[in-house]
Amino acid sequence: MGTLWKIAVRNTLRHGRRTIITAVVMMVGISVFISFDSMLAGLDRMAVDNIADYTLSSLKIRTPAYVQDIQSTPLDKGLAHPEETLAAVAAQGLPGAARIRFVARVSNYTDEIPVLADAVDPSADARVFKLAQSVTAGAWLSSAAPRSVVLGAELARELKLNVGDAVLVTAQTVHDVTNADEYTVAGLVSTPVPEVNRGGFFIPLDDARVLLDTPPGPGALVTEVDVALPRASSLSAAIVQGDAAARRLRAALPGEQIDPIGSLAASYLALRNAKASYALIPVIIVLIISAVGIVNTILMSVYSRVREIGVLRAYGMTSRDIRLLFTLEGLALGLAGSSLGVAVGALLDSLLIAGGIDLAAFSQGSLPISGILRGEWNPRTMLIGFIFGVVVSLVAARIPARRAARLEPTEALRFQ
Amino acid sequence: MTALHLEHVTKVYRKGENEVRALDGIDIDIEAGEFLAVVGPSGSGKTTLLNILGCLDAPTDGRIVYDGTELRGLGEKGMSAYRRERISFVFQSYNLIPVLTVRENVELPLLIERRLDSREIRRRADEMIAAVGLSGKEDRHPRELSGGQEQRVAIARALVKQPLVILADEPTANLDSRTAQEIVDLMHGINAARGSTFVFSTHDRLVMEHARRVVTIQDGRVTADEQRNPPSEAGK
Repeated sequence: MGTLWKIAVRNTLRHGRRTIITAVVMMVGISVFISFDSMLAGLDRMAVDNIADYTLSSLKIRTPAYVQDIQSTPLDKGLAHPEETLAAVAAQGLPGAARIRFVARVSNYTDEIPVLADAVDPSADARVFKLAQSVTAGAWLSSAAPRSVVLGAELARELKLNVGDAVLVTAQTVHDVTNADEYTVAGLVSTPVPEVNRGGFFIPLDDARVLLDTPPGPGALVTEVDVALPRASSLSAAIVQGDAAARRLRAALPGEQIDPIGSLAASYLALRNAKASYALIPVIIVLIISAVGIVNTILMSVYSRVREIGVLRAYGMTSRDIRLLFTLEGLALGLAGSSLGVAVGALLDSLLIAGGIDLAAFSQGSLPISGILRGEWNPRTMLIGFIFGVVVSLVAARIPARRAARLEPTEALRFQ
Repeated sequence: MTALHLEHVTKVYRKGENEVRALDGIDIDIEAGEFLAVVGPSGSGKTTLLNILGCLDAPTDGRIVYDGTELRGLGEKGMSAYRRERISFVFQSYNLIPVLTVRENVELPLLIERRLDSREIRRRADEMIAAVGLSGKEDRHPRELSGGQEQRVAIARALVKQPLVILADEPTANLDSRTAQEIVDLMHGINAARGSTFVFSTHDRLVMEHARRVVTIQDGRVTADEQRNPPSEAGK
């Protein structure tokens, strides 16, 4: 085996140019696979973080009836005891914020745009969401400045509204009567989530309750309590952490529907997975090309060394030894290509992690993925890429190795 | 002592309906320590005979007894094992492994044989390299050697495992006459000093002149088998 390995490795090195070409093709396939996976993991992470930070939170508590009828944002299916719900969340050491979601129409007295409004507790909300940090003009809501609202920057641009302008908001009250009132634009938010920028409308809970004609005080209307969880090290860790927190809260709040980030972002993740599998097709094609390259390289090696095979057979090597020799050459190529692929993949990963890619150009889409995309370290994918490259090489080497093993020593020695 | 005994050895190649009798009832006894040349025109069956003697090919009919053991019905593995242990080859185009050094080429048969430890393998290889006059060139690659030096390495490779017989197919055909003379002298010297058995297939008059026995083959049959007194031994 040692001699075979020595001959295999030296032959691989001897035919440097074709070895380099084959290894480079493999390297491209594997490094693209690794960096692509890193970007996808980064995209997932970014999307899920953005979902948690700007739209859905890490965990949502609502009534089952509300969730069942969620399309109509029913105001009569809010939480029965919101204070107790918030207390249960606080008892877990987690920040929670009460919200009311309702359909509203926002007008600058000329044009009107329907929005899904969020009535928020300004200070508690800032502990759960990052909206308060995303204010690009004016200020976030404050109990000190009543009858103020915050709008998504795009929405404001669409309505030609600026900080300090008056805005007319119309909504159906809990009694199903249309009500309208005028508010002042306190601030504009610009977030990495296009949906918030285009349709975000935030109003203090107390003002919303007046608009919706629902009484304030203990037991006042709250359709959901949003909870923030500490930042996890990876997407899967975030999902596991969300599920664990949901289990604990279900025990404390039986009867409420508690959805962690894994369920809240399910539709995004399903969409992403579908897109990712299509995007992997070019990577698979590159790896197939490298497999063809390996078959070709080793076949060339076999044909240029027919007499050598004859000599080795004459000196007592069996056809099995010859097959092993060329399989080892495939392995050597595979190890070289895979190692290069993992090395370059890791380099691309580190560039993606350190520098990232600015997704500003792609922020027109509906996915919550604008901002700087940073990759994620993916040792498992590197291992998969490495093993895949080696296995592909071994499988590809089988064809020429079998051909070499089938050569009769007398024929091989006669070969010119 | 008889190293090889061939009895009515026949080799028939069939190509479709055609039948070629490459060997047609060969009877030869080769004694241990012989320096024997098999001569004959191209296509006479010399190479086929060497292939059969070297266990590279099996006869269609007849018996071959190697050192008292009849090898019959051996499969590919059995033939490989016998070659590994008992037979060595020297080829017309040297056929050294280009990626291995001189020493590694000479060690190769012992490494394939897997019988000795690495220290002994190296000792024997260096001894053979010295015997063929290439001391100091152990770490060179074949591309750094002349044709004559390459053939010397091939001879060292053939001798290192102390085989029953060394089969040399036109070993001087690619060499100029001076180098060919050196190579023949070298093999002759080794034959005299170590008693190694050499069987050549050759057209080279020089080899024939040095051979102690010349077997002539024509159309697959032995047409002459003469004992000679080579010039190097004349007068001894």
